[in-house]
Amino acid sequence: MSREEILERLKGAITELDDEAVNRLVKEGLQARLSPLEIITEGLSPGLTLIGEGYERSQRFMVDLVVAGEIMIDVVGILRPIIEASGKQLGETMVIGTVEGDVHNIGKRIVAAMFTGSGYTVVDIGENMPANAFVEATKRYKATIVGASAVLSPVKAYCQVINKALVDAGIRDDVIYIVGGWGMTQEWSDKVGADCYGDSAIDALHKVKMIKVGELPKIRERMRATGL
Amino acid sequence: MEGAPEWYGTPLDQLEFEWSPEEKLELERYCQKILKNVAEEEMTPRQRCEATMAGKTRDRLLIEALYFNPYAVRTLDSGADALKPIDVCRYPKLLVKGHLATLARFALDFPTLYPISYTQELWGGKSKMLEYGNPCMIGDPPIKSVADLEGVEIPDPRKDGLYPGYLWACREMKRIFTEYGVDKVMPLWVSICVDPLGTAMMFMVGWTRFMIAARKDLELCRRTMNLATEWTIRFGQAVVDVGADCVMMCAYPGIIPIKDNEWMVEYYTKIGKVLGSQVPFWYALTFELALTWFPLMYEKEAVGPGSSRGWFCTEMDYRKAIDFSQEHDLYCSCAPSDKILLNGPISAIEEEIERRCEYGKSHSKFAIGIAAVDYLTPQANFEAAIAAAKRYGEF
Repeated sequence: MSREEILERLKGAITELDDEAVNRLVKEGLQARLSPLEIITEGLSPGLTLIGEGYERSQRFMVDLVVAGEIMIDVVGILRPIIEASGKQLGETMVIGTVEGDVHNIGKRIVAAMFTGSGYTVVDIGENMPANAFVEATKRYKATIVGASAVLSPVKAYCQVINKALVDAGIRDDVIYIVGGWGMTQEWSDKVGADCYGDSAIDALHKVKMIKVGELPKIRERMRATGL
Repeated sequence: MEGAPEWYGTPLDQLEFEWSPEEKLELERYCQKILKNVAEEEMTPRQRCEATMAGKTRDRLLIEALYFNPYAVRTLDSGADALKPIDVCRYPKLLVKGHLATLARFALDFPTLYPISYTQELWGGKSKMLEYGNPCMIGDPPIKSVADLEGVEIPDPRKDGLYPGYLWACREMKRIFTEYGVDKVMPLWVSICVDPLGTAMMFMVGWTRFMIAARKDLELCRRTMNLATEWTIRFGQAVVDVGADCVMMCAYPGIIPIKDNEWMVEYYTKIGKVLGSQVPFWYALTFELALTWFPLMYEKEAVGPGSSRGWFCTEMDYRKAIDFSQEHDLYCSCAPSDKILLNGPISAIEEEIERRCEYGKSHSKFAIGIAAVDYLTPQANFEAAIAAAKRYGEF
């Protein structure tokens, strides 16, 4: 099987949520001298994106997104040691967690999978996490993206506590701070001091990419532009 | 369960929470206000509800306002954020008072009593109380294989976990309704969320493992669904026994594809027939693709005569839900997205309510939904939604 065929089949296998086929094709891909990064970003990620887009159009089920995300995370877990052994790394690092007072994790894991699929190294610090845990992980892993998930609406305000902790630690300008969760809006995102919010995993990834290429200003730049 | 109240696990028949004289006064006053609200309209909520279920003439559309427990406690403390949702899980009296206060404050058609637990720890997992929500599971779900089901017993809602407290609150609502005459004019609506699929997926097996098992280890899915279904029937029977006049169950078809999962419908049929033969019983569906399950659910009698009366629908194409329900003579209520209710503006809330009322009025078993009223939903938004529902729902 050619390298292109393997990548195409990987895309199909994750789209079909066929974890056995994914595992088999990953092995075949490595044997065919595909790099782990190619397997992730050119094989699995396009499949995961297709599911995400299908979900947004109400053509795929939420559980499809969850299962595909888990498959992606498992595969990256297998490939990471190979990548690191070769002296390379996955892309920039994202630290993600669910804020203190909340333990929901499904949306957060989907976002983690989507970013992983795009080549980021994702460090999931877990649920019910205080602001200092976000700060410590950001410093420790030299993260450039910090994601905070708040599904229970009353704890959305805690995203502001995290923002302040990042500011107090002197690392706020070094990161893109993104928030998400049920009922999150631009207004809330601005209120808590985030650079953007993700309406979905795909939206989160899209907005971070826009900030990185300068098409979407970070909050401080927006505030400066509007004179606030 | 971390942080569980002292009465956790005390059987319902041994559970007693005394009302002080001041509290009794509060209960009486809330009921008086509810009766006053009811008297201002042509039909009582009970008449409106019965007419809707029977497809008969109504003065206006029935309003199914799912405000749930966190909002009830929010009303009770006037939005001070002093009382928290965790408090209604700890103190069943607050649950009762919160619902009475919300009914009185917003002149609703019925209360929406909602469980204070989802069986998180009752299948062998661990859980903890959470300040702003129902208790949550911590760690992995306990069932990883069929072998893990060895010795797993179906919980008893009258004895296990927080359920006796919830049943106490439901029973007490019925007693208070009866004592002050509210029972004659208003039905007691009680939720038994979540459904067997939600229970098996979230609290027994875990989402991913369950979905992978649905393709590779069907026995695990079937056996957990069997247990969860028996639990649901026990729970449903318990709320009927303490006085529920109608019962709703959050249902998860729509979160998963129907293709290759058709077998799951039989469990809804079983629950629908047991509960639907006793009281009006319906599902709450919150995923767009739940629509794809409708035909099979009807064909397999998970909904229809002698079974569930229909569904509450949100986050989906309301026209399709209403059309299907009208064609098959099913109860149907449709609500705009809860995000609109939370974030407004009020004009958008009113427009969304109007659209559904206008489209649904031709269906004699249609009710207008308002849901789910989030803890932070401004009172003005909720009030505007109710006012719009009454205005546009009038015949």
